[in-house]
Amino acid sequence: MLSIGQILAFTAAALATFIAGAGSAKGVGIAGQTSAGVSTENPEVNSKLMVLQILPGTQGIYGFLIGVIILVNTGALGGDLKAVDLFQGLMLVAAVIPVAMVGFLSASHQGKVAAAGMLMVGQHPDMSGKAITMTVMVETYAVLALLASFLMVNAVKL
Amino acid sequence: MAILDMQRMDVLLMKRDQSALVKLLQQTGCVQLLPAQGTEAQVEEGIAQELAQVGEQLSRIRWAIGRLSRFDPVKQSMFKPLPQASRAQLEAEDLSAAMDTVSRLEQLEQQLGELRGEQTRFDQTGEQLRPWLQLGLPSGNLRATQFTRVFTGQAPTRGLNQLVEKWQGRPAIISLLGTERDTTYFYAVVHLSQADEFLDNLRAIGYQHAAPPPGEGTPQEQLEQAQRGSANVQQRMDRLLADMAQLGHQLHELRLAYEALNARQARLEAKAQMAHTGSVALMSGWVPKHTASALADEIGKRFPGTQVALRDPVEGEEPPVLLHNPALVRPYEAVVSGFALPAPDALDPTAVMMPFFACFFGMMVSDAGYGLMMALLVPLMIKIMQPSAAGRKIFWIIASGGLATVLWGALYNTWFGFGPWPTVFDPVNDSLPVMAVCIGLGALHLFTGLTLGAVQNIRRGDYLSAVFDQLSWAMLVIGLGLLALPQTAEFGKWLAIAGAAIVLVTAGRDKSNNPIKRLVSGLGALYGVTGWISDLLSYMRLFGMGLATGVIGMVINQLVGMLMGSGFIGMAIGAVVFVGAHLFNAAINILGAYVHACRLQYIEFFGKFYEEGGKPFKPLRLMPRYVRIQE
Repeated sequence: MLSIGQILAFTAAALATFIAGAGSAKGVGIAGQTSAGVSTENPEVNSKLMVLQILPGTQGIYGFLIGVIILVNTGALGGDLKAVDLFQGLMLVAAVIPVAMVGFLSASHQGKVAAAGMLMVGQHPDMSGKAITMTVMVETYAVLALLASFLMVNAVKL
Repeated sequence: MAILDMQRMDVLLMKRDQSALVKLLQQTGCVQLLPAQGTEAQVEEGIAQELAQVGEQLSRIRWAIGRLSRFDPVKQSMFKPLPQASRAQLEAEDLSAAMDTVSRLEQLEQQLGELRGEQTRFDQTGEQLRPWLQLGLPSGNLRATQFTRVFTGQAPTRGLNQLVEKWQGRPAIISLLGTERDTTYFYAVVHLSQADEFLDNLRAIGYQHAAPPPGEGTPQEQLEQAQRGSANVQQRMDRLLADMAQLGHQLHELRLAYEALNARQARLEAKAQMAHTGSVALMSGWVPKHTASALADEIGKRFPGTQVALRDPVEGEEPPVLLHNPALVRPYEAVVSGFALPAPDALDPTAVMMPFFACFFGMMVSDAGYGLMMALLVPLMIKIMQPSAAGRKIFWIIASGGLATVLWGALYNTWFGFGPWPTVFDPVNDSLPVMAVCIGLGALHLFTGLTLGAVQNIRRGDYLSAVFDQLSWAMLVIGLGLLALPQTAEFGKWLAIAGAAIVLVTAGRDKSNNPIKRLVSGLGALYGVTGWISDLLSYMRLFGMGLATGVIGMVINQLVGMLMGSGFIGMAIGAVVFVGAHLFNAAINILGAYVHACRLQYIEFFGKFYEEGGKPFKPLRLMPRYVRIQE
């Protein structure tokens, strides 16, 4: 018999993976479209654009990471589900908010910055280092959110 | 750790030596030419003409290489090193053989274009004939006679069928031909007396006039003729394409010719930059100091009658920047130049940055197994692929980062996601010590940056700035840090206050003489403390990225473990998943670690001291694109 706490824990894992992943999908998508456009004009910079396109993908990985940690902590991955009470379940849902929301926003914004950076690289291929730096700036907050979520998830002792 | 000193070289030479001198400079590859100024700077007509000619040949040969690239008999591959070429080949003067190949290709292309046009015409004829194929007589035979009129065209099928029924038994022959969708083509022969009525009837059902294309024989015969013609053209095109594919064997020669032309263009551009009179030219350029006098001697020896003058740069001149570091550090120059080169009189941070970069990189990849792979496989890849100088630098950064990764991976006890031994740091279950290490390393990094800033000021003799801008901040931040421990809190308090006081009083010293305005600027500068906090927090990414690698590795192993439990096929799939998933995890994390390690240098570290703005040193030299120079 499943408890509400266990269902909440699964909801938390699902939210972390799905919201952050959706953001990354959006970001990589935006960047990919621009990459295709810029490559048509200037095929030689394609490999430089590839790096920029991957960058907004990390937020999805962070979300997935938190989701998996929840599954590990609740024993779902081991096949032996632990008891989770209602409040622990709610704490887990609260804990995934940073990585899910910040992940979503920073990934879609990072996609836009990456796209703008690609236009820059298309014109000035030697500026790809700067374009990457600009794009990585957006990621800082996703990393902080990952840490916050991680600490909170680990604070829920099951 | 240095920016190479540059010297300005001026060479006054006889014009007849110009070409040979430029060639010598290109061979040595250590002079960046400066464009001449003033009235003598106008480009000589002969050179301008030659430049235009070379430019035209270059664009033709570039087109030819692109056109033939799919007939290349040698398969290109990322993992294959570029072919080698000798310097003599890259300086070849006689390129007529290659240009002949280009002309031949242009001819073939032109013939192909003509044939393509012919084929299109045949295809169009076939298209036009299609509705008339059932017409059993030549189109020329459909003519009005003394008593009949002929109608040809198309009309909606239903109306036409009704018309045929209606005109049964009347002096009209209506013959239906091919049908396309719901219109049918037809021809009709009608007695003159009924012709007008017939036409009215036709119009009523929506008739449109059309006639079979003129030509010899029935439409069917014409179509066969067109098809024969088209097949013939196709054969000729195939022959031309085969000839073109044959030319593919000349690709290597074409590429060599391209390199030679490119080198010639560079030499001509160098000549065009020289000031000149009727018989004398003046060449100016920057030379790295350590090679300057040897080069000057060489020029003097080879070209007697040439005057060479060397001098150090004077105030207001901005020599180009070339970094020079020991072999171990050199790859990391790519990280610095990826941001921006330092100003000519600033510090080259490469050597100081290197250990931090490798350490951070290792912390973020954080899997000793991946580290081993990088440290062992990447040098092997360099051996196989023989990448260009720039690519080689990146490869070596990853290889040396691999060593640091092995170290940190061992501390984290992560080997391909497994943790076989007791661990020093356990980021998943006991994360605080790891975070403390991250912040500690960050503080060390930032203070190193601050120290470099002080060194820069001291080197310029500006001791006060070193105290006001760097020492003050060190006191303030260290003082604030000491507040955290009860034993040192008292000392920390006064240290922080002293530091803050210096910042408050001196930060605005260049802005205004008004003491109140200075204090306001000082207050603004003190707000920079928040910047230090966010800089320090930024190093938490070392923990976050490392955690990501480790946990994903663990998840992969858990999934593979489940697969392994389910029989022989499961084991086979499991093995494939294990290799593929770990490769993916390694690749994405190496990329992430690289860009984040760069960012920590560019934003946090360089932000504390770096003075950018150097222009890269671009000497006249051979820069082949398709080949490697054989030394």
